Amino acid sequence: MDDDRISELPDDILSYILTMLSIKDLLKTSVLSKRWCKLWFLMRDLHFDIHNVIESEKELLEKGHLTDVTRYSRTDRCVDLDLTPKEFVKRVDQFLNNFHGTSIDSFFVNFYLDCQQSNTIDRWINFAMVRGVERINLLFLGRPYVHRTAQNKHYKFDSALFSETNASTLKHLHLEYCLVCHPTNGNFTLFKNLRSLTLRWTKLDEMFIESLLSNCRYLEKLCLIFCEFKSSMPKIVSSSLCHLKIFPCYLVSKEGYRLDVDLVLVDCLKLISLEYHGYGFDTLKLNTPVLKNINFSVSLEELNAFVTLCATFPELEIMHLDIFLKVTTSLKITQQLKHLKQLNLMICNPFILDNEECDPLWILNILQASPLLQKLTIMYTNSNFITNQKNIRDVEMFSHDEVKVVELGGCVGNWFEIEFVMNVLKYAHKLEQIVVSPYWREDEPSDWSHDSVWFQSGRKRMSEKLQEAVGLEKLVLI
Amino acid sequence: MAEEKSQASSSKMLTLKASDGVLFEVELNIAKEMKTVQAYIDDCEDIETIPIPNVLGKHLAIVIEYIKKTNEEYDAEFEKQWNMDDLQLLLLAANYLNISGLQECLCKAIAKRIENKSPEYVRKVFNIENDHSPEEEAKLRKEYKWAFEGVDKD
Repeated sequence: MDDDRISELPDDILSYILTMLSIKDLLKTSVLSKRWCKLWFLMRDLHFDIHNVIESEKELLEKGHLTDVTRYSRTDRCVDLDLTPKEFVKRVDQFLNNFHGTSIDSFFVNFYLDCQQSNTIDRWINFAMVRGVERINLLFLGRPYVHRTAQNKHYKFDSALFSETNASTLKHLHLEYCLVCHPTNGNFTLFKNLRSLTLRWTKLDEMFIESLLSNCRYLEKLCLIFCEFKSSMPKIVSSSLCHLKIFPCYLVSKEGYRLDVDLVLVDCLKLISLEYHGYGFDTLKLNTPVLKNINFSVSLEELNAFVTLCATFPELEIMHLDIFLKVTTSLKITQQLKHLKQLNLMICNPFILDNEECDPLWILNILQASPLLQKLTIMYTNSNFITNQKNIRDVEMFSHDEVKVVELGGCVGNWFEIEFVMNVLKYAHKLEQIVVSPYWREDEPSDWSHDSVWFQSGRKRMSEKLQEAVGLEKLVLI
Repeated sequence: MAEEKSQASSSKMLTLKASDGVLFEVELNIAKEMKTVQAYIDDCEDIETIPIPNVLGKHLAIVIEYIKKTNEEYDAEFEKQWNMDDLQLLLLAANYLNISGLQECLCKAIAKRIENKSPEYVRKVFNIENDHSPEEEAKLRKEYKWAFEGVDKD
């Protein structure tokens, strides 16, 4: 049986194991034998971050290089100033100088770097381009850790530096905390085959985006997240773009103030999903006939106009809305959302004063306007329990023949929550389940929160008031 | 008619024969997770016994069990039971049978076990013969000096 024991695994399996090691362990393997010396050249994905180049999170915390700092009830995990980029750069350089692989797929760097390491970063990008790289991530914020330092200037990404050949293999580019300038040679060859571009906390001229869009025939995805533009938001005009995501962008005025920059035009015949968190809804022009999925932030006053706009998208199936609730009045939805299958509402900070007029049944109006809706999710963020609870009304005029699943999050047991649940139970004829939970969170990476008043009294209150309700078996109270 | 046929094929049993002659009866949908076996079936539809010449019975048993039970919890505990030799042989089996989930799980396990270990330890684990000349090795050690600091004691 010992004869059958195979003592060495084949090259491709070993090099796959190598991709899971830290840079430190990887470099040590070159000492094992002549064969091992070359194995790491088979690696196709070169990813560098604080953990695989410097130390694991545990070790960083133990040595005090990572500390938790709390300011204004917000805790950030900060990286020590002593841990300068020098060591990081030295180790990555050592790796790259000894790497004799001729072809790679991806090159990722996630560390706080800036203009001081310009020459090095240029070299790294060139290294990757020469090896036919398809994906480049240059994330110079070093997230999720915060690095407090004198604000050095951003690394300047000049694509002209990397356009030696007329070909480009780059398909996916993600830049964070960079400055992107118009290519000094005026040619966009580097971006010719780009499929996706994500820019976060990046400073650029809007002309760059507009030129890029007309030069990239295959661009499918564009994300502009907290970017600084020169004077306005770029006009998004593209015949290939399918996914667009924009988070509040801004410009910096002469006096040094940050001013919002609004989206004004999206003219993309192939656009399937659009996510926009910003202002200027009343001046926004959309030409997106095949839009399936929309995610916006609106104020309640804009809601009817927004729904009217959405009714013009014949393929719209999923809508996600962040609504800033102030005071509600009776809201009439004039248009139907004929194809809408899923609706997610996030109602932000509905701080309602005790004596304020409040008629949240506008949600039922939207439901009524979406005859094919299958799933409805409502999340209240930062809700407060009102002491002056009103009576619960039976709406009677409401009815829905399709909706199967309804979920409520962030509940505290307010009268309007109970009223909503009661009416849905009674008048949503195909309803399979309605889940009521106190948990809410703002976006994916955040933790769930809840108000303890739910477990203290809210839940019990809801349970009591709904005792006689029709369809009670479909109710799930968390 | 078509529904009945697919129902019958999902409970159809297949026999896998390990290198040491041990036989395993498995359901078709379990066997299909092994892409090598799937290719075999695609080529010869009526086959009932498939030979697996590279894998010992004891390892094939473990692989089949993994396919049946795999989930996050199971995977986390799975790798802890095996010694380095078994891990490598299981990895060879998973590679031959072309089961990507199991390959990933085992590679991660092996990587974890050689984390921060000395080259001597790793050589022993993989049974590697050091064919570097002493000068070559010394040169490499000097060049990557920082990588050899703080290594775990064997």
